[in-house]
Amino acid sequence: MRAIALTVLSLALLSCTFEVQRLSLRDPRLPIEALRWLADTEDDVAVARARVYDAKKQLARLESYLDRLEDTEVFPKSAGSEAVNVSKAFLYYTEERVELKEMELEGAGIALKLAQDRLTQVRAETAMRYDLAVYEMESIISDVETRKKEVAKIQFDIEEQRATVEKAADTLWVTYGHYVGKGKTTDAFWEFGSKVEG
Amino acid sequence: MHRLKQKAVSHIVRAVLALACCSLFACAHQKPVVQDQLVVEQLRLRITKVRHAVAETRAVISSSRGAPYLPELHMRLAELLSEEARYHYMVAYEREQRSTKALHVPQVRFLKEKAISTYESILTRFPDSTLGDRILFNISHEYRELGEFDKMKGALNKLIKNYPDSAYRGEALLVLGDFYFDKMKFGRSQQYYLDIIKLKQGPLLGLSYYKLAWVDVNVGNCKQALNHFEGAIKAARKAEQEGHKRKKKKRKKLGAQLKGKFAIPEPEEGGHSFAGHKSVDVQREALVDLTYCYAQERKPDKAVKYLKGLAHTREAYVAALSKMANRYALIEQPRGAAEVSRELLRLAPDEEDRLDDARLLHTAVTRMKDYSMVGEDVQLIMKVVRRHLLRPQLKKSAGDLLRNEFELVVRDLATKSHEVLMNKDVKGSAWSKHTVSAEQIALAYRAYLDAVPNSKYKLEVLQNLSDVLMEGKQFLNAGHRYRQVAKLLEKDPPRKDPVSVKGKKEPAVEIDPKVAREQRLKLRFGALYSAVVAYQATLESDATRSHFERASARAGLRNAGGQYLAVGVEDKERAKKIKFAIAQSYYDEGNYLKAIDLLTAVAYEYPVDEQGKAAVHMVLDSYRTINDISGLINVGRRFIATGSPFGQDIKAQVTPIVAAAEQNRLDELSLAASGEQVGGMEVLLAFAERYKDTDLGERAMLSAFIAARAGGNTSQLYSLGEQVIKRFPSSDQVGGVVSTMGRAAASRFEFDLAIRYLEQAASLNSEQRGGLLIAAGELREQLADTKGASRNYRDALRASGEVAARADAAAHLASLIEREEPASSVVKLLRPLCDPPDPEVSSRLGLALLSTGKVDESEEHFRIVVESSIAATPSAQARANYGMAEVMLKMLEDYQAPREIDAIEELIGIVDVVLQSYLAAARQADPVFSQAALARMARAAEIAADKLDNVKLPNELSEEERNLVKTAMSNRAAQLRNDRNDILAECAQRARSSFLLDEAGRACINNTAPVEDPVRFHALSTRVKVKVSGVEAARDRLSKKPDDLEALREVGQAYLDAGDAHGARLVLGRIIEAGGGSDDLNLLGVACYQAGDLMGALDAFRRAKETGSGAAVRNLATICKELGMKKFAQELMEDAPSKGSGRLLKGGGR
Repeated sequence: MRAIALTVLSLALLSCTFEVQRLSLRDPRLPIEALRWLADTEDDVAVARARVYDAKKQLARLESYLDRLEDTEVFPKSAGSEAVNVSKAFLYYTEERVELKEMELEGAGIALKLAQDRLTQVRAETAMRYDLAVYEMESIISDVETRKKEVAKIQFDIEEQRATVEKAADTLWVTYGHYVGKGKTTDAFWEFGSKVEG
Repeated sequence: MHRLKQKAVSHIVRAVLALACCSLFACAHQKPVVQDQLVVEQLRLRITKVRHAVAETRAVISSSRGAPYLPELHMRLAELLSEEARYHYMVAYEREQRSTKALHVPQVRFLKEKAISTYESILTRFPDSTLGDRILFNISHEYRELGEFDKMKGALNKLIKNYPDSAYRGEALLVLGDFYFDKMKFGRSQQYYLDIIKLKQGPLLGLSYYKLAWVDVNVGNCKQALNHFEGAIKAARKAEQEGHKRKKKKRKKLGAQLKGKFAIPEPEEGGHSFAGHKSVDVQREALVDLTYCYAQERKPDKAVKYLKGLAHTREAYVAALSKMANRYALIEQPRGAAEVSRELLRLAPDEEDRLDDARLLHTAVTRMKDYSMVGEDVQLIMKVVRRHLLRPQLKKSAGDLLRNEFELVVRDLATKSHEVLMNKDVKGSAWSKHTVSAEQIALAYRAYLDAVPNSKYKLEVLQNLSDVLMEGKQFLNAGHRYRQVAKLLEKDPPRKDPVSVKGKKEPAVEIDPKVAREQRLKLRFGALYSAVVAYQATLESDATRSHFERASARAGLRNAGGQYLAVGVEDKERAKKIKFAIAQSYYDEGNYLKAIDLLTAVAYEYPVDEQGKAAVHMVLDSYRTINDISGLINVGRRFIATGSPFGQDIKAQVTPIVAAAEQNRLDELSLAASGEQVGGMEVLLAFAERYKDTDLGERAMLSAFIAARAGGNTSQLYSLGEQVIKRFPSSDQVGGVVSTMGRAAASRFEFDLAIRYLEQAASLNSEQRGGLLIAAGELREQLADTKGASRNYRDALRASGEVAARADAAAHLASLIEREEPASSVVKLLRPLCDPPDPEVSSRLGLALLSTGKVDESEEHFRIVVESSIAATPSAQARANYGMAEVMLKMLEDYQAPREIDAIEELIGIVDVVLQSYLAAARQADPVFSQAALARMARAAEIAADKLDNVKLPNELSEEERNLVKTAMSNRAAQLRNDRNDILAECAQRARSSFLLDEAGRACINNTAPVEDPVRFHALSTRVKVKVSGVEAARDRLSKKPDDLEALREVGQAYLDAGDAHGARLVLGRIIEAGGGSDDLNLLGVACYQAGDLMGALDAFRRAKETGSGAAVRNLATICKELGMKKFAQELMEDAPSKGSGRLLKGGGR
C-alpha cells in the first residue's frame, strides 16, 4: 500500500513539475499553428536579447564619450564664464544621456525577462493544450503579468528621463548659442568632436 | 715450439697492423685531381679511331669484290678520309691557338685529294650508282675547302645538271649562291637563291629567303629586303612546324611498333643534314637582321608590335629589340627608341644594357615630350635601377652615383610631365601624340617615392603627387597624401634651397626662422584643408565607392579637420566648412547620435549661413532616421522657438516638419498603446504629461483615451475621460469623449453611469445632443424610468433642429406617452410636429385622434402615411392601415341606411371597403396590428351581417322584389358570419402559434371578436434598483469583447439574481443578439415577465420553446393560465418535454 501511495505521489509530482519543459519546433505531436506560435515567441526572446546587446553597446559608447569629455577641456576656461557654463551644460547633458542609456539597458533587460516568461507561458499552454504535460498555470501567468507591470514602469521612467535629457539639451544649446554668439572659439570642441569613441 | 709459434703470430699481427696503419696514412693523402683531356689529345684519339676505320673499310672492300654494296663501302672510305683530314685541320687550328683559320696543313690536302680521288673512282667504276649526287656534292665540298673554287663550281654544276631531282640540288644552289654573294656578285647569287625558292624545298626555303634579303640589303633595296626577311621567317617557321609534325608522326609510329616488339627505328625520311646550314636559326637571324631595314622603312610606333608578331622566342624578340633600340638611337628616332627601350625594360634580362635602355627611354621621352606613359616609364626605370643596386659586386660609390643619376632622371620625368599637365595649352613635340594623364603622373610620383623614400625632395614630390591626384579626381588618395604632407610639415623645417613643385629651381634665399616657421605652418594648414576638401570630394563624388573607401575618407576627413581646428586658424570661412564637413561625416557614416550634437553645434554657430541651414535639416533628418521622433519634436521646437537664432525661412521650413512629427509620434504611441505592446500606454501617458499644456498634450490624452477604449481598459477610459473633461473643458472633443464613456458604460451594462455620461455628453455636444438624449431616454425607458425618459425625449425634441431628428424624438416620446398617458396628451404633443408631415408622427397621431373621437382628422393623417410617397417604417404602415380600417369600421357602425335601394348598395359597398381595409392592415409586417386587424375584421363582419339583416327595404318595392332582396341580404349576412368565424379561427391559429396573447389574440382564441380597439400599450413595472456586485471581471471582459457570451450571462444572471429584472432584460436581450441559446431565451422571458413586459416574455418563451426548452413551455403555460387560458395551457403542458433545465416562473412546475 505504502509503495503504491509513493508511486502515485511521485507520478503526480512528475506530471505537475514546476519546470516547464522546452518544446521542440519539430515536435511531430504539435500542429503547425502551435509550432508557429512557439517559434514566434522564441523569436521574441531573440529580438529582446539583441536589444539588450544593442543597449549595452550604446551605453558603452556613450560612457566612453563621457569619460573623454570629463578629461577634456572642450571649452577653454580662458574664454570666460560663458565657457564654464557651456562646459557644465554639455557635461550635464551627456551625463543625463548616459543615465537614459542605463535605463534603456535596464528596460531591455526586463523586456528580455518578459519575453522569456512569455515563452515559458506559451510552452506550458501548448503542452497542456495538446495533452503533453500538466503545469501550474496560475503562477506562470502571474509571473508574466508582474513582468508586464515592471516593463510598463520602466517605460514610463525612460520617457521621463528622455524628457530630462531633452530639457538638458535645450539648456545646452541655448548656452552654446550665447557662447558662440559672443564669438568665442569652439575649435577645441571640434577637435574633441572629430575623434570617434568606442 | 708452442711459444715460438705464439711469438710468430704476434709478430705477424704487429706487421699486419703496421701495414694497415701505413695504408691508412697512404689513404689519408690528398687525392690527385683528374683533369680533362686536352682537345688536341681528343682529336688525336679520333684520328687514330678514324684510321682504324679506314683500314677496316679497306679490308672489307678488298674482301667484297663484286658485292652490290661496294659503292657504299668506297663512299664510306672517302668520307672517313675526309673526316681524318678535318681532324688534322682542327689539330693544327688548336695548335695555332685558334688564331687563324687559314692554315697550311699538308696532311689535310693529301687526305682530301685522296678522298676526292676515291669519290671520282666511284663515279667511274659505278656510273649507275644512286650515290652520284651525294658524291658530287662531297667532291665540291672538298674542293671548296681546298680553295679550288672552279673545280667546286664544276662539280656543283654537274650535280645541278645531272641530278635535277636530287635532294642535294638545293644545297648545291645555295653553295653557289653563297659563293657569288661572297664575291659581291649579287645578281648571280640572287639567281641561285631564287632557283632554290622555285624548288620549294622546306629546310632551305627560309635560308634562301634570308640570303635573298641580304642581297637586297646590299643592293640598297630595304623594302624588298624586309619582305624577304619576313618570307624567311615564315618559311622557316613553316618548315619547323612540318618538322615537328613529322617527328610527332614518327614517334607515334614508333610507339605502335614498340607495342608488340622491339624494333630499330627507321632513318629519317629524306632527312639529310647539311653541315654549315643546319645550325643557323633562320627565324632569329632574320628577325634581328630586319631591324636595320625596318627602322628605315616602317613606322617606329609599330615596331614593338611588329617584332613581337614575328618573334618565335623571347630570346629572339629581345635580341631584335636590342638591335632595334640601337638602331633608333643611332638615327635619333625618339618614338621608336622609347617604345623599344620600354619593351626591353619590361622583358629583357637584367643586364648592364638595361641601364642604357633606361637612359635611352628617358632621353627619348623627354625629347618627344610625350609623357602619356610616364608612370610606367618611371616604374620600369626604377625597377632596373633597384635590381642593379642589389648586385653584390657593385661598389658603394658606383651605387651612389647610379642612385643619384636615376633619382634625377625619374624626378625629371615626373615633374616635366606634371608641368605639361598643368600647362595644357602648351603644345608638345611632333612626336607627342597622346596627352598626359594625371593617373600616369601620380604613378610616376608614387614610383619615385617608393624608390627613393628618403629623398630630400620628398615634401615637394608629395605635394605634387597630392595635386596630381586631385587633378585626376583620385580624391581619397589625394586626401591621404595631403595628410602625409601635413605630417612632414609638422616636423621638418623648410629647406633652404627649395625646389619648386614643377622642378624649376628658385634662387636660394636665407629665411628668418620665425618666417620659416610661419611659412611651414601656412603650408601645413593648406595641406590639411586640401585633405579635408579631397575627402569631402571623395564622399560627394562617387556613390559607388566601397564601404572601406568611404570609411577611410570619413576617418581621414575628421583627422585632418581636427588637426586643422586644433591649433586655431584665422580663416573663419575654412573653419566653418571644416566643422560642417566633420559633422556631415558622422551623418554620412550613420553615427547619428554624434552627428546630431555636431550638426546642432554648426547650426547654432552659423545659423544664417548655408552650412547652418543645411545642418538644421540634417539634424531633423538624423532624428527621423533613428526614429527618435520625440527628439525630433524637441529639437524642432527648439529651432522654431521664440528667441532662437534661426531665420524666418528656416522656421517656416521646420514648423510643418515638427507638426508632422508630432502627429507621427502621437500616432506611433497611440498605436503602441492600443496594441499588445507592453508599456505602450504608459509611454503615451508620459508623453501626454510632458506636453500637458499644449495641443499636443491634448491630442495625446485623447489618443490615450482612444487606446484605452480600444484596449477595453474601462477604468483607465473613465479616468482619462475625466482628465480630459477637467484639463480641456473647452476642447471640442470633450463631448465625444463623454459620449464614448457613456456608450462604454452602456456596453458594460453600468446603466446609471451610462445615462449620466450620455446626458453629460448631450450637454457638451450640441450637434449630437438630440441623439444622445434619445439614447439616454431609451435606456431610462427600458429601465421603467418613464419620467426620466420623457424628460430626455422632450429635451431631445427641443434640441433637435432637423425635422428627422425631431420626428425621431417625437416618435420616442409618443411611444412612451401612449403607454403612460391618455390619447389626448399624445394628440397635444404630436400635433405641432406634423408640419411637414412625417409617417412616424402621423401614424401615431392618427391613432390618438381616433381614440379621442376625431375620426376625420385621424383619417387625414392615416392617408398621409398610406398614400404618401414618403417612405414609412413597417410599424407606421401597419398603424396607418389599421387606423384607416378602424375609421372605416366607425363609418359602418354609424351608417344608418335610408329606405332606398341606392342606400342598400352603398351599405354593401361600405362593408366591402371595411373588410378590405382590415385585410390590408392584417397583411402588414407588425404582428400586433396585423393580429388586431384580423380580430377587428371579424368584428366588422359581425356588424356588417347585423346591418344587412336589419336593413329596411324601400316601401315602393313589390313583395316579390322585397323577398328577392331580403333573401340576397340574408345570404350575404350569413356569408359574413361564416367569414367572421373563419377570420377568428385564422386569428386564433396565429395567436396560438406566435403566442401573441394580447387582447386581440386572446379574443380570437376565445372565438370572440373584440368590440373595441384591442390594441393596448402596457407600461413596464417599476424597477427594483439594486447594486449589482461581483461582476467587474465579466464587465472588463465585455469591454474588450462585447459579444463574450459567458461574460454577458454572468452579468445578466447577476442582475436577475439581484432582482433587477429590467437590467437583466437588457443584458439578456444582448445575449440573444449575440447568439444565445434556449436557456438564454427562457431567462429573457423570465426577466421580461418580471419587468412587466408580458408580450416580450411570451415571445422569448416561444422562441425558447422552438429550440426545445421544456422550462419555456412550462413558463408559457403559466402565463396562459394567468391570462385565463387554462385549456391552451393544458394543451401546452401535454406536449411539453419531460426533461429540461431553465428557470421557471412562480407558479410553474416541473
